Amino acid sequence: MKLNSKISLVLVAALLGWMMTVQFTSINRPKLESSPAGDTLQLTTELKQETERQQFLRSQIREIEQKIADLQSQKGNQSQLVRTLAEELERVKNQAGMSEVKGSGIIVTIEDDFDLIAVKNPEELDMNRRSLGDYLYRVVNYLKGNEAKAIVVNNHRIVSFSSVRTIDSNNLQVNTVMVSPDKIIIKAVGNVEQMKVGMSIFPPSFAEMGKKFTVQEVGDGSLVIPPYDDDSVQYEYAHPEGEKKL
Amino acid sequence: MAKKPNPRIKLTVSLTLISVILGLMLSMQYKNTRAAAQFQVDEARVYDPRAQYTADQLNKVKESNSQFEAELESLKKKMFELEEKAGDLAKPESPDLKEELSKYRVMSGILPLKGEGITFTIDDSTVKDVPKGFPPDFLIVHDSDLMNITNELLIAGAEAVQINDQRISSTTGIICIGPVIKINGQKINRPYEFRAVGNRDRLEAALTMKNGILDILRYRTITIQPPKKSLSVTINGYSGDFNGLGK
Repeated sequence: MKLNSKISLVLVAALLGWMMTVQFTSINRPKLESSPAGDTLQLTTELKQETERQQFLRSQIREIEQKIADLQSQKGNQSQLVRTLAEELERVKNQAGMSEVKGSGIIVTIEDDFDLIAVKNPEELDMNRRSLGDYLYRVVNYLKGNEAKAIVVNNHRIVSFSSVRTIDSNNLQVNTVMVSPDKIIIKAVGNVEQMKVGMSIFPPSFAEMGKKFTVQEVGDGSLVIPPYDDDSVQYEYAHPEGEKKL
Repeated sequence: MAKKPNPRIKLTVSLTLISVILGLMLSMQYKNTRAAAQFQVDEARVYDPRAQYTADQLNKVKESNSQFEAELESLKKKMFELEEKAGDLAKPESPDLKEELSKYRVMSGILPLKGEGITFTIDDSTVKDVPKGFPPDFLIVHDSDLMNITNELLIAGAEAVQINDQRISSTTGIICIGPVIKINGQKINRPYEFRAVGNRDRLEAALTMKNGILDILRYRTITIQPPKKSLSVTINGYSGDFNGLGK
């Protein structure tokens, strides 16, 4: 092999290397379409929520500062103190679910749909119905997550320790009390539009159980939610910090 | 006279050397190019000016909110103490006011509580490849999982439940909005730590029973730190607005 041939070979190899390098570089160049616009949108949403939270916290601080000032200024006036505490008690009872609530809201009815039942496989239907309690608890959760102030399921008011349980496909418990699963009526007072949106995902799930899921709007402020029906609740294990027991 | 080297051998050695060097150069170039491309993608993600500005704003607001929350907690404590004293002063006229107020505050979830109970944590699966026949979303903790566990604890007689720093109240919703789980309207991040006050043996048994809720999660390869029983579980006070109730 002559010198010229060797030089040509080296040049060809170098050229090949350079071409491949250019190729790799162009293949791996980042695509600029993958801009973080989605991240920005998510961050903006979160910023809006945190800002709203800040407004709420500020208003809470102002409210409690006012209450503290009132309690301090009323030290010498027993009747006034009683009135202040009684007002606070009413507010707290309301938040605990121990008072009647009246307002606009929605009524959700979940009942057997015999046309649906007729076309379903009985074994499959029975299996699906065992999830009724889970789905009912989910409905209650989605109402609360969509600005429901007060909820009642077949006359059982939902409070902080409420539970929903399927015993079997024909038996259901709400607040540890047996209720009939044949017709479940849930009433909720709160943000009507928001709650309706929250309920829109449920009809297909209940159809699988052979049940019709309907939502009725009560917009005139006349929907009544009864209080929790057992005022003798005793806390056996939980006690406020600093106290031995309630 | 020195023996002339065989030109064929010389050529083979030269070509081999050239090929090895070229191969090395190519592989190094390829690696560098990939690293540079990845770096540019990361740079674009981190240094997008709009996202960066919003992230900075968000961090500032979050920081102030933490301070406001601490201030609110200390004000509430002061108010509860004053109400205690006021309740004592009001006893002659209204003997039950103080106890009633305390009882309903506990029921509503406003008061921080303490008592025997359990704590445990769940998190997304650490399995990298989705097992055959598994839907990929089996490996992720969903709002429905947090709901079902909460319901299970309440059925077992839990008197107070908290997930991360969010207390479950009469108006607490656990819902998914897009990829985010929200409790009390607040975004919560994984892992999910549960705290529940109640009979610790009963609470533990409800979760760990055969084919119970934790077994179902285990089957899905969800990460679980099993329940720990404790004589003193502390639970936050609820700090939301009860969806506007009782204003």
